This record gives sequence, C-alpha cells and structure tokens, in this order.
Amino acid sequence: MSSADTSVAWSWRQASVPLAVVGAVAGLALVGWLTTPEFVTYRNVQSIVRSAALIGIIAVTMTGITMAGSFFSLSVSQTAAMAAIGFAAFMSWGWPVWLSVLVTFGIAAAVGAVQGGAVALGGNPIVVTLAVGAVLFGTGAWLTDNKTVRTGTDAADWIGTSRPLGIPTQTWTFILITVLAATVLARTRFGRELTLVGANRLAAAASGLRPGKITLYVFTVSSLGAALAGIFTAAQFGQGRLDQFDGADIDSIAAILVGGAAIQGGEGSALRTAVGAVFIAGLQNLMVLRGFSFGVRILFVGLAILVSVSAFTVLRNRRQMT
Amino acid sequence: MARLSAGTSSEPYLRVDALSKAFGSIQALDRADFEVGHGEVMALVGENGAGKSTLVKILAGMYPPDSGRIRLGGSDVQFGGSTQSEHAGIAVVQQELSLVPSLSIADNVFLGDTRRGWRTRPGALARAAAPYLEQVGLTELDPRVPVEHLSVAERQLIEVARLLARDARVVIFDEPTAALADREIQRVKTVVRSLREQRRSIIYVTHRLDEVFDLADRVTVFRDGRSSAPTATGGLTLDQLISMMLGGTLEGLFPERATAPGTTVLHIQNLMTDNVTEPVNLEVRRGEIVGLAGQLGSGASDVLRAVAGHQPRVSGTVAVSGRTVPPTSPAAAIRCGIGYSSSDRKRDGLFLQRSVVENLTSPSLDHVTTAGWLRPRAERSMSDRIAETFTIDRLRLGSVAGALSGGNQQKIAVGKWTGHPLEVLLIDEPTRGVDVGARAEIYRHLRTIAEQGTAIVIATSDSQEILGLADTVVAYFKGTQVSVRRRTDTDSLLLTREITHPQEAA
Repeated sequence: MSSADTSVAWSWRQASVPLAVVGAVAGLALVGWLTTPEFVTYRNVQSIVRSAALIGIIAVTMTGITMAGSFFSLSVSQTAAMAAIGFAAFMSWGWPVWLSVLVTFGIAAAVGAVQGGAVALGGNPIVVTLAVGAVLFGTGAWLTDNKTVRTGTDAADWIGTSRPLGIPTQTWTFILITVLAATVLARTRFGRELTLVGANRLAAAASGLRPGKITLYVFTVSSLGAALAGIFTAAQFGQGRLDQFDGADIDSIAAILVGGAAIQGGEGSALRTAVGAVFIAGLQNLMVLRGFSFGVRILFVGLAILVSVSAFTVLRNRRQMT
Repeated sequence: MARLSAGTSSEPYLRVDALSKAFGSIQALDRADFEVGHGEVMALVGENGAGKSTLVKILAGMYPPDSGRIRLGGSDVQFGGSTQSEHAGIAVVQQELSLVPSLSIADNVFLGDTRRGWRTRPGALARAAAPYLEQVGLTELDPRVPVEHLSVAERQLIEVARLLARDARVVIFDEPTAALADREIQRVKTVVRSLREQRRSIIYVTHRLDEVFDLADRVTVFRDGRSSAPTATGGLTLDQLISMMLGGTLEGLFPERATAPGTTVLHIQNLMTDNVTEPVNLEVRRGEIVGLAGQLGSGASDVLRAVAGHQPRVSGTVAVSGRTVPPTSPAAAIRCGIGYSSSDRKRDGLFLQRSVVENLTSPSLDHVTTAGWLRPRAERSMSDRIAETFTIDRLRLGSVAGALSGGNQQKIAVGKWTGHPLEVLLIDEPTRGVDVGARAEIYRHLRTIAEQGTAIVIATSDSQEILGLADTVVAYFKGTQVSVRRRTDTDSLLLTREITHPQEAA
C-alpha cells in the first residue's frame, strides 16, 4: 500500500500495483463480455457480487495475516464450515439468534487466538493453520457424522436473505468490512504497527513494537471473518455442512494475491484484496457459465495466482530501483 | 621462533601488481601490490574499509579487477569466477563458513569436488577424508558425524581440510580467529604453521596484531586501498606496525568536541553477558559521546545490546536518570529513553520496503497518534524535523527506504531515534558501509544531538572513529573492559595496543 499522505511525488510507478489490479478486473469483464453474452447481464452481475461477498469477507479479514508477514491461514474454509455447523446446531437447540451468533464468534475467536499464539511463539503459520484446519475438519466429521445440520427454524433466515435497499446483507457486510479494514490499516496505529511487523519483524521489535500481539490479533480477526461467512451461509440455506466451503481458502488466497499484497508481508491493501475477490468471483462465474469442470476452474485460479504473483514481483522490483 | 625463508626463486609464487577496483565513487583498491612466496605466511592488515576484503575477493575470483595484473607461479592469470580461481589452486577459508551443517564431515571435505562422482559410499568417503583431517589435527573426530555437532573452530579446520583435499597452493585465511576462544585459536595457528611447512603459500588476514608477530613471516599493510611494501616481521615493532596502519589523519572529518558535559544519565553497574565475562561499570553524562573500542567479539557491542534489551544480561543493573531499565525487551529500554541502532541496519534497523517517513516515526508512534489514530501532519512534521537535523533529502521522504544510498539509510537508522525525547542513544558501528562524505555528516549530527542533552555511546572497531569523535574512550579486549580514559589521556598507539594486546600496554 502506498499511502497517499506520505508519498510526496505521485508517479505512475508508485501507482503501478493498484492500476494492475483494476486492469485485471477490467480485462476479465471485457473477455467475459466478448465471449459470453450472459456474463454482463444485471442478474449475473448480482450473482457475482453475492459470491464475491463471502470470499471477500474471508479474504479481506485474512489480508492482515499476509501483511503482518504470516503468509496465509489454511484453516479458513474449515473455520467457516464449523461456524456454519455450530450456528445451525445452536439454532436447532432453540437458542435465540443473538446468542447463537455470539457463541459462534466466541469459539471462532478462541480458535483464531490459538493459531495466532502458536505462530507468535515461533510456529510456522502454514503448518499451524494446516494442522488446526485438520483438527477442525476431524472434529466436525466426528460431531456431525458427516451429515448436514439443519437450523430447523426460519428465525435466522433474515441474516442470509434480506436485502436492505435491494442489496443483499452479505454484500453490505463485505463493503462495510472492506471500508473498516482499509481505514484501520491505513489510518490507525494498529494498522501501521501491523504493516511494519510484516515489513521487518526484527526491526519492528527493535523499534519497541509488539510483533507477538499483532500476530495474535490478525489470526483472531481472520478467524472471526471466516466465522461470519459461515453464519451467513448457514442462515441463508438453513443448514451447515462440512464441505460447504470447499475451495474457499484457495479462492481467498487468490483474492489477496491478485490484490497485489506482498507474500512476505509489509505491503497490501484491504481495498485491493476486495477488488481481487470480485475478480476471482467473476472468473469462477465466467468459467461456470462456460461449462468448465471443477478441476479446470481450479487450474485457472491457480494460473491467476501465478501470473499475479510474478507480475507484482516484477513491478515492485522496478519500483525499488528508482 | 624459527622462520622458514620466503621462497628461494626470484619471483614469489603469487604476485599482484597495481590492482585497482572501484565500487561506484569509492576506490576500494588503488594500484595495490601484494605478494606471497612458497612456504610463506604473509599477514594482511589494515583498518576496516582499507581494501583487504576486496583483494581477497578478487583473488577468490568473486570480483573482476578494474585494472592490474595477477601472476601465479610465473604466469599471468585471470579469473572469470570462483571455480577458475579454485582450479588455479587458490582457496579462501571464509569468515562466514560455507559448510553444510546437516552433512557429515567427510561429505563436507569433498563438497563441490567435481572430480569425485556423487555416488560415493559413506565408508569409502570417510577413509578418503581421514588423511586431510589428520593434517588439520582433527584425528579424534569420526568423519561420519554431521558438521552441525562441531564447534566453530572445528568447522573452520574442516574448511581447511576441504581446501587441502583440493590441493590448494595458496590458502587465504580471512580473519580466522575473530570468533574463536583462545584454546581454539591455538589449533588454527598450529594448522597454519604445518601448511607453511608443506611449502604452501598462506595469506593471513587479521585484526589481531599479536598474531602477525606470532605467525607471519612478512606483513603487508593496506590503507585507503593502497598497499605498503611487504615488511619482514622480524625487524618490526608493534608501534611501527600501528603507525603504518593509521598513517595520516583525516582532517575535517570530525566535528569540534563537547564543551561541558552535564549530569550523569546512564549508569551501568557490574554488567555481564555471555560474552562479557568481567563486570562492566560505566557512567555516561549528558552531552558526552563515549566510544567503546574493540575488535569483533571484544564485548563492546554486547554491552550496548545488553543495555538496549536486545541481549540477556547475566548480571548487573542499568539505570537511566536513576530509573532502573528492565532487562526484558527493547520496548522496555525505549520506554526508559534509550535508543539503539545496531551494526546491521538491514537486519533490524530499517523497513526497507516502507517509506522513509514510516521508518523515521516507527519508534515514536505514541507521539504521532491520538487515541489510536495516526496523525499524518504530526508524522510529517516529525520526519521533516529529523530530515533537517540529519540532512536527509526531504523530497525522498516518500520513497521506500531501500531505494536510498547506504549513507542515507544509516542516517535513517540513527535519526529515527530522535523523533521523541531521548536520554541515551546507543550506536553500534555508526558508519559501517557509509562513504566518507556521509561519515562526516553523521559525526556532525551525533555531536549536535549530544549538545542537545543526549548521552551517546558508540561501539566501533574503527579506532580512528573513536579517537576523532569520542570524549571518553573505553577499550575492550576479549570480553573485558580494559580501560576508561578521557580522550586527552590516550592516543592511537595506546588505544590500538589496548584493543589488540592489553598485556603489553599495561
């Protein structure tokens, strides 16, 4: 993120990363429009925006992990699925909506804090989150016997299906979280500290900043974001299922990388991740419309990651040399 | 001790004529000559930045020279890379060891040896390695043991064994004893002597002058990229060698000295760390610059690190203006008004991919935030102020720190501590990797900060820097504080003795 308030000389080079992100989305829209007429219909765009919202919520809340230098969380799809299952179960036990939401978030925060704590103590973030993801998945399979858990009530449906001002709640939340995250990252001490910890953990500690605390927070926030996506889905469909979020981790990581965050930390933006999420959702949608199989779709998401990571690395190296 | 004569043939085995090499505007080597004969140990000494490492790297084939000639065994050679230099029989025992820790001793001895197939049975390899290990005195080790279980000295000796396995004729030791304890140094010296007896040519780069007299037949002194004529150590005194190293003084590099230091701010009592084995007591006053002089591993840097909370203390207390500094973390020391700039700014001093402004305000975030919100204007004015004091180009405040020159980066690494009120500023190697112009500026800025009431402590292995800048000079040698003297009570001879050779200086 090149924060505008600190850069004296605005230049095309400084703006190259944001421009590339926006360019990717525009390019995708153009390709979709030329090849697939139904891609740019009002209905389809709405559908893209809705699916972008869930991936977007997960990705934007995970951006903090990447920017703080802890790469990614590989447990978000399991966290989201477990939150959906938990929320559905709590509702089916007749708990009020607010309590079900609160307890689900509480558990998610604890799961996130455990991962953040393990990473802060020196654990490798990829290994830690992979392991926690496996534990969550195993626990879920054992508790639900791999069966769908239904809410058995329509008390929570409004969370997933209502449309204030004609826009789905998921989309509203996505926008809200993006604005909030962008503000926190760019304008607050916490955001600055997070960015500096990601840029150089040792220098951050030497400057009196708190890398451990930051790590704990970013993993907790990411876990809460995944849980929120889980609650939305459980409320929308009235059920929670273990495989409900298959592929959500690769999609959200792709959104972060297409958004141009530096993998090794210290650079990134919530806004660009959000645009990245729209890109990935649009790409997925276009491929479904074209009748691509699941495997081929994963292939293209993988290619999008490869191309964006290589392109941004080249752009950044050029900028450093000036 | 008996010395072998420096070769019988008229021409030395390795000979370097008028070698020059520039890095940008810095002339690292300026028509330097150098030679070493068969069965000779040639010591190579000089201050930091004198050009020793550049010569070693050119001989190792890592840099091409800009001009000049290298003759080996009577014919001209040119190295297009380190492999060619190796094949010509030149080998360097690196400061940073290049062994693979997880491989066995025998594997490492033959590492990168292209004449050997890569599918060799461990037993055969161990047998093949044994004679080389014997030559370096490592008979007691099992060649199948992974290198990671060995001490630093043993690893260094295995490096030597590796060079012998390639039959290196010219062996370059680049400060081999800098990281070693006394007993281990003896082992290295024994190996150097036995290599000489095998009529190999040895180049011995060192900061420790006692080793020059102990080991070398002749010595060449480098200063500002130029070389002295090789001098036999037999007729040389320590004082003569030191004055050859220091040469003329750099006029105008250093600012005027302090007028009147104020009250004592920093109290260090009975401080010990893993490397500082005798208790250190030191007091530093406002407006004063104290210089800790010492070679790598002398303990000078360790004192700074321990005071700043970067390294655990074994014992002792530190207080700033009567307030005890907890030994727990850098953050605790910062809260007590201590700033610390390490000798490796890229490692823990700078955020290279972030803007200069973000770097400058990083230790002072409390002073530019209100209720958790950053105040861009406060950040801006704080960095403007630091940039003005430290003459950092204000147009570059928005660029990423990594895009700036070494001198400017060092100004950021030091200057960032002046964003908020500071009691004590600790700087390890204040001008490492900085050209002469920026050095003069940094010295001036440090004096300015001191005059504003901050107590400054620097640690450096550059004795010129200490003598030019410091008001009080503290000498360290092998984990011991040797002396505390006012600048007026010491000179380069005495100081150089104290940090290389304290017994004789007493």
